[in-house]
Amino acid sequence: MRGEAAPPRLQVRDLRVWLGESEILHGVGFSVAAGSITALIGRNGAGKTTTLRGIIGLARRRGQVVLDGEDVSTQPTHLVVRRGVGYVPEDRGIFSRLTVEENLRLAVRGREPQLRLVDELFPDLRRLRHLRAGTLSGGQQQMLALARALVIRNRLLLVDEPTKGLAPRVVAEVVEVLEKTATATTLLLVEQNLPVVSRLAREVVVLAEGRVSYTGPAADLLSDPVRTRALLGVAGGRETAP
Amino acid sequence: MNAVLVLTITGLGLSALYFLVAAGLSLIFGLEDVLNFAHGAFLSVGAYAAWWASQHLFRFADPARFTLALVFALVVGAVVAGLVELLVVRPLYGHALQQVLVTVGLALALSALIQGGWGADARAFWVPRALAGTGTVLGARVALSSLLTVAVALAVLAALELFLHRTRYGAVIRAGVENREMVAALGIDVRRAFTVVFCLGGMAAALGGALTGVYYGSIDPSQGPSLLIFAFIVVVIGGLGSIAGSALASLVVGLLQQFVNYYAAPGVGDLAVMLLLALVLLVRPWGLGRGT
Repeated sequence: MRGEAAPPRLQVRDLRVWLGESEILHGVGFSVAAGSITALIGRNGAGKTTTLRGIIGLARRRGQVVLDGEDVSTQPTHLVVRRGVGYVPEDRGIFSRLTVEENLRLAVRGREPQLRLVDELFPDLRRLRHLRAGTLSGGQQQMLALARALVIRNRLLLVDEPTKGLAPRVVAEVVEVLEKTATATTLLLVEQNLPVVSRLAREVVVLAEGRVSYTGPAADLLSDPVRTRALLGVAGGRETAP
Repeated sequence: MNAVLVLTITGLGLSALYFLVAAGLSLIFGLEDVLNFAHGAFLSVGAYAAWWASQHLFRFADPARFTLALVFALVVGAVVAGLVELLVVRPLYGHALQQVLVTVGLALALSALIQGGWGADARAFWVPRALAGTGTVLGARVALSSLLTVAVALAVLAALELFLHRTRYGAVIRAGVENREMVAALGIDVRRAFTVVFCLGGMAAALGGALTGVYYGSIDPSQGPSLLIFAFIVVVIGGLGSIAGSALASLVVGLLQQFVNYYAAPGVGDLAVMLLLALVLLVRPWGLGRGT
């Protein structure tokens, strides 16, 4: 007997998002399957970051955001997050004047924290826990931002450009962490680095000027240089994965 | 030598009053981006609440009467500030101009309300006999009220620092001062923190109001607005959102004002404070209490 397909972890339907008076997203729709990594890609200004911000309610929005069948699109950010959504923004969003430990503790609420997992994935942070987060290197700050999203068990992680501005060695570490993370949770990843997308993502959603221009398997798109160039303006990234 | 000591202690008393008003103002602006022009009214409300309570608690022994009057002022300050945040400021988050207008209007309304209830004339403020006189510090006779004001401000500074650095809620507030959007993105209801900060600010200002009565020996409806001006200066010099910065700036402003008023001419101290503000804005616009 054939089982029914699992419902998507996240469904975004006709999402429109405004920044001030400007409409940035014009009816975006896509799904993210549970237990997968989906990459949200597109040229600069396509609306990738705005999509993540719209999903958790950090920007004015209309449309539907459905998490495991529950419509959360009218809920304020903190309630969407409490439904089990973690968010790692592009600028990392760490609190530079708080210590590493305080940054982590702020993310802990109610549920049992996954401190062992965090220690396992980010052994350096334990040593740095009494330092102010603002004194950490860019790579360490990125690790802290990821650790903060992982310190409690989330159903969905929204991660915005986690490899941006990092040295290649640190990029490899971040990719490894994301791979391990994906074994326990679902990831929606905004990423410009196509080799990273190629290595991590099963599905891709391509945005262009605030609309979805492609959804489908990452391998199909990235193995087609002509289509990749047409959609993203760059060649595919299968050859140089970190 | 005695004059210097007396000026220092009275200046510290003034610094303490500035700090009590500026601490809440700084946190409110740092966390919520609200320039709360009604904050001086919280001071007046506290002053009149303490005065009213002390008039009605005459059956109690002096220390209990005084303590209860201060506690009553704290409670009234917290309630009024909390209501102001919930009913007046909250609907206007993100609308800076409207917030300024509404808090200015509220300051005028509260001031008018106090005048309507108790008149515009100064009212003598009761203080326990033990605090009414002077004491000797290193051979100089200084007003005990100044020493009390300084001691209370130090206690408030210590309590706020402990709260901000040793409690989860304090960490939420410090994080919110830096990036309140990210606080919400961690699942924390940042608006509740806004209300808590307003209540804390209202309590500190109300305590400042009660101690204004102790320091000057009387209260009147104009004290809140006039202290608020200097509290704003303290907040800017100290750095928005920095309690330690506000404490340091209060110290500098209070002492500078006191010494210049004495050694130059009355009123020149205010000018000196304005010049200091201009200097800090030119050289260190982020204030004394913040790294950058």
